[in-house]
Amino acid sequence: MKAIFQSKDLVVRDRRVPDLALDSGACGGWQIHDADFAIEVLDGVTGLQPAQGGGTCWFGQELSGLPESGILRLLARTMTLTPDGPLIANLNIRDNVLLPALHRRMDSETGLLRKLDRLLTGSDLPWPPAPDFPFLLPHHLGVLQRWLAGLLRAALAAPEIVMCCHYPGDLSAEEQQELVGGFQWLRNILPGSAWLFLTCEQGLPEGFSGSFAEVAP
Amino acid sequence: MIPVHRRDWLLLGYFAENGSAYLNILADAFLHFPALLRPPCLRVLLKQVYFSGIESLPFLSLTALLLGFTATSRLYQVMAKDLSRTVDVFRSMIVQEGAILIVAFYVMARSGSAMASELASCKQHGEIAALYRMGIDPADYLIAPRVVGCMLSVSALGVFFKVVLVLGGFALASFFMEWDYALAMKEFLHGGLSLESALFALLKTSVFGALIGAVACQQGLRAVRGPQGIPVATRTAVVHGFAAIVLAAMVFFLLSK
Repeated sequence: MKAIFQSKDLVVRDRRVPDLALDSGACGGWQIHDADFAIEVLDGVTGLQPAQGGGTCWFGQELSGLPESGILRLLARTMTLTPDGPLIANLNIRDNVLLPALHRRMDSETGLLRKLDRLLTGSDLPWPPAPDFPFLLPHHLGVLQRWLAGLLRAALAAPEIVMCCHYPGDLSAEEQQELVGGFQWLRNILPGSAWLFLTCEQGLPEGFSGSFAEVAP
Repeated sequence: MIPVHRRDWLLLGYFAENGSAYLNILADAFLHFPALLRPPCLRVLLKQVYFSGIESLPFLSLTALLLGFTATSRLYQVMAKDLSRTVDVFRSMIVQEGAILIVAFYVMARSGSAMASELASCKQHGEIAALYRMGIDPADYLIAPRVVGCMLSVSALGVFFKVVLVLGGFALASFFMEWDYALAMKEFLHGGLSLESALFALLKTSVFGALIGAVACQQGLRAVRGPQGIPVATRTAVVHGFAAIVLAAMVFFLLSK
């Protein structure tokens, strides 16, 4: 099967990110002990910040040789999940969730709202949404509800790669368990997608069968 | 202490650097114009028109009304109650030049500062990086709708302000002093309302609007991290915006000669 993501001797903040190739449906990641560094690796992988060496290859295309529009086209086939969403502060949760799918013109707004409604009322949702969830602003939500917004956004945008930047932070052990259930829920919705974890907890994605490498601190 | 001649060069460099940055943002906005057809970008554009244009209407109406009356009555006195000359000066000074500048300054101070602080806050909270990671070009979602929204708002507000300025100002003047409303309107319309001048005024307001959007976006996106980032971006946007408007007004004046 064709690898859709490869890190090739990527160096971020003087640390070498181990090489990794992911096929469709596979799961892998890097164990990272520092939340800021996780974001830096993410920025290096996505070309947002120039890496100090090496590079990344997406869907068979070297990121370094592409113009910005080309990189954006590739990134539009991926979705990043972080503890803060990442959500846009002045948009309510509904608009935040619909944003990438609407921007990519994947469906009409009515169609996407119908899908969102179906997901929100589904019995298999990993944990219940807060009352008036779609109409709240991001700062009204707790960490787990923000994760839910991120998961719903990914479910609607149907990415080929899900990049998950996870550091437990405020979550209790019980909530972390729920979060694993949330990842599993998303994986069931997107069975063909590859998962890339940047996490400080190797134990977290145990539900996923993945290859893990540690980025030395 | 930097020698004077070196300081002059630094100042020139500062103007050149900022000027080219604003032109780059303008170019970005127009290159990403097709993105406005995407629903989220269109929504940002409509919000921008609402906040910059529609929400400004009450205050600008009052300003236009009072300015129209004050300018008319003062000029009427200075011109020794010569209605024809009063209307002539009022048209060329207040309506053709002053009105557009007032609208542009108002939008810059009100919406330009808000835009700059909003974008600076977006940058500080990592939202621009988040958009990028979602494959959404920040120029599509943040710059183009704001620049185009400002252009549309300032153009529409310019026309609206002038109409209230003339109709309202003349009406108030006829109420408070010896002012023949019908005759003044006849003089005003007779004095030259051509399609050419209307298009020129529209072009002028559009350019002012685009400049306001470009300066605010550039300063917001350039904001540095830390507690000073947002206030400095807002202040610089307003100061540079005013300077850019005056400079553009001067260029238009020279072009119209």
